[in-house]
Amino acid sequence: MTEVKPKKTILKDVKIFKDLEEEIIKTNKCCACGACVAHCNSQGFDVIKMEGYTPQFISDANVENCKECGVCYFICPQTEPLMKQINDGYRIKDEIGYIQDVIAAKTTDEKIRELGQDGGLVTTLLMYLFDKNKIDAAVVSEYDENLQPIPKIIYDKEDLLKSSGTRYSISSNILPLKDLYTIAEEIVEKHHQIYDINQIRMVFVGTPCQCRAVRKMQLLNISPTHVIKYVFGLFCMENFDYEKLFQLVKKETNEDPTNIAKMNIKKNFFITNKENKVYEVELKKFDNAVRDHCHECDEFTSRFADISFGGSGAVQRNSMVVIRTEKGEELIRDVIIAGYINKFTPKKSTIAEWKSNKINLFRRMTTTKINKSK
Amino acid sequence: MGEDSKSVLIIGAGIAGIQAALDLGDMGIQVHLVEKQPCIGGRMAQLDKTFPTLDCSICILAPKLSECYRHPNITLHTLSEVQKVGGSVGNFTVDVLKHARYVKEDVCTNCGDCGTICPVRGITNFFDANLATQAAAQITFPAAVPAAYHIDPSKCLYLNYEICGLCYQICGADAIDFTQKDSVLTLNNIGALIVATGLDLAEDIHTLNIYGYQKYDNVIAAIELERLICASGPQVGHLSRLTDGKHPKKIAFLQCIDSRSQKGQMYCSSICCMYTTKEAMIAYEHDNELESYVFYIDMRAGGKGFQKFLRRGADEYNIKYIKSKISHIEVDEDESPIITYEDYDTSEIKQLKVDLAVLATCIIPSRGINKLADVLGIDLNHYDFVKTNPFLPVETSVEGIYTCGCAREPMDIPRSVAEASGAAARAAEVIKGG
Repeated sequence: MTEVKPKKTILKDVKIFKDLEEEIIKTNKCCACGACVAHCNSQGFDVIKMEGYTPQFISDANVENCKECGVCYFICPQTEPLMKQINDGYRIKDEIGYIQDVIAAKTTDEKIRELGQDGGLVTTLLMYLFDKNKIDAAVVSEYDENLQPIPKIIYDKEDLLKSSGTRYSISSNILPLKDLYTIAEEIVEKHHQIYDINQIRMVFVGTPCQCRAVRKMQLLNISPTHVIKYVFGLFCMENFDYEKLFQLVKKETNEDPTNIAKMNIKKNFFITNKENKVYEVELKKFDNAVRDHCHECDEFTSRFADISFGGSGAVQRNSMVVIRTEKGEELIRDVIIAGYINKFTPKKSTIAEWKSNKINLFRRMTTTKINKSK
Repeated sequence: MGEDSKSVLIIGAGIAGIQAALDLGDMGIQVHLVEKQPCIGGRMAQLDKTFPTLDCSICILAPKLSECYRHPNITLHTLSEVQKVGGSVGNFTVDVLKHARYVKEDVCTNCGDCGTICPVRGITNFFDANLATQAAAQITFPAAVPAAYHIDPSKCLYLNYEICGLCYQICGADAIDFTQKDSVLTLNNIGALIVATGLDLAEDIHTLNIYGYQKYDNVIAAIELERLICASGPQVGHLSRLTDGKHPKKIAFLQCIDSRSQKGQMYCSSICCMYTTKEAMIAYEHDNELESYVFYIDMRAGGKGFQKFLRRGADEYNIKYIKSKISHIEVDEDESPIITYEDYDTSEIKQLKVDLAVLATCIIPSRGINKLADVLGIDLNHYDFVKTNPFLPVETSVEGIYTCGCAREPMDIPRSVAEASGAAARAAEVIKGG
């Protein structure tokens, strides 16, 4: 028997990346958010990487490099630890979470209106925050030329329009934060007031599972999510596997991803090609492309966000906005006052009814999602 | 002196407590110096320079810090608080609650590996007026005494969730010790006590929102300017605005913030007229194009050479003193503060746009003083400073308990040091027999 020098540790029975692999990744529960890799790499450890949408050891030789600190297992949005604490922290008691206010609104910016999904709200809010120098960067996703979503750090509003609109297959949005030091360098070039990498200010835009991971990490105050000042959540019914989705798109419409201009899910799947031809395909035809981890998910409205956004329930090209924290409420108020967005006003006598209708709709949609999983 | 000889316990290891400890130690009297922070030095360690000589503050203080640490007659108790006091003059018994440092103070080599590997980030540091951040394994400032790291138990992942332990893994000196627990140390044979708990500042308890403080990033408190301009501070000595990094060319200094006011503290903070001129001078030395405007009610510069100091400010450092009353502060689209004030010389309402506004905030009693006064049984005056008799300025209402420095009333460093020596002398009388 070869003798292995034991690591100097004080930890007892801590679950580490190997357990994460066994329990979450190999059982297809991984939502590919990239939290584990982002944290581990930001610590400068040479252990794990993202291979496509799968976190794994860089190589067999790197297994030994694992410090066995157990943080990756704790912050994974699909594991049990810290769930009670963040549920309590964000006042989550049921499937739609704590709701401070619900409004519908749309952007006042012509360009964003053209490119955005519904009301173009996420893009507009980011534009406001960049304009007012309240943030230094944002984590978003955008399409590459094959319509594959890639996570992206944007540093100013010029980059913003590329990321407008919804993408329906997953992108590992937490992952790019692994290079926090490089991000900070980029920011310091532009903003000389930043003298501490830990004081840069970022916005995170992501799906419910990704927001959950960010909140778990923020509860621990750990690198690299300590720089995130706002979390914008997206409504998410399900997320598709990129390869499978476009095989099915090809089958149904005979279009290659390179020739598709826009996709939108309302009741059915609407696919617009670059010649402006619109295909309408029944949503259930894409069921086989849905990622496995979405079947485990009980969230639709991004309960852990400061503000959640989505098209469900909105009319006349508005977006629905669910405000969940004080910080989120303050931001929406400032943005409305600054004239960046217009709030939709239902007839006065029916505001309360309108809100409760919307909340009921969210509840029904969440139930639909949960039932679908079963 | 023998084993059971009397010792003196000093509460607070700022410049006053340190001076008293050194005086007593040098007389051959055993001293217990109790400090609630992880390191000693107090407010003076935060300052860039001192008035009226413009000496580097830490340069004067650092030798005293290490002398205190190495003195054979002084025992330092950091991260400690006085919890219970019994007995009377000549024979007090004191319970000291020692919080765990989780780092062996005498083993730690101050290499910083634990702070580098600690995954917890962004914990604001009070020493840098919350303008810089730290990990959970931290040292208050690089020259801290004792020169040992400590672990913030409210943020540490191991202490809260039993994960991580990276600092323990990496520490080459094996100094990390998570088995440490908060403990109570009972000290007998304490002949006398000295209360040197120092000060807090108005911004610690008030929002100061009519001045836009905490609302506008270019309205800062004087202690923040002190850190920003300090070479060991968060901007390594390059004074720039927090909003856009530009070097300010016009700075407004606003006097009597929260002091001499029925809405705030009813007393004069006593040091602000001087430190404001000092800060304007240091800022001018960083940038000779700087214009400073001091908005004052009246200049209170009572001290040797103080009046001359103000004169020098006006003549050589481009400081303009404006007798006035501030109405409020707004900001323009560039986040530059616009100050609306009444000019007392002309009785006109005027406005002045500056790049940075600095608030000379009032000294307030240390926030733990009420609790400590209960423990010690001493009286406080109606401002919550330690009550003393004008003719016996270092004596509290309890025999054998003395006080000095800003625990008693707002005062500058030279006076704190003088009073500390006074309190030390009175305590020595108890020990040696007066």
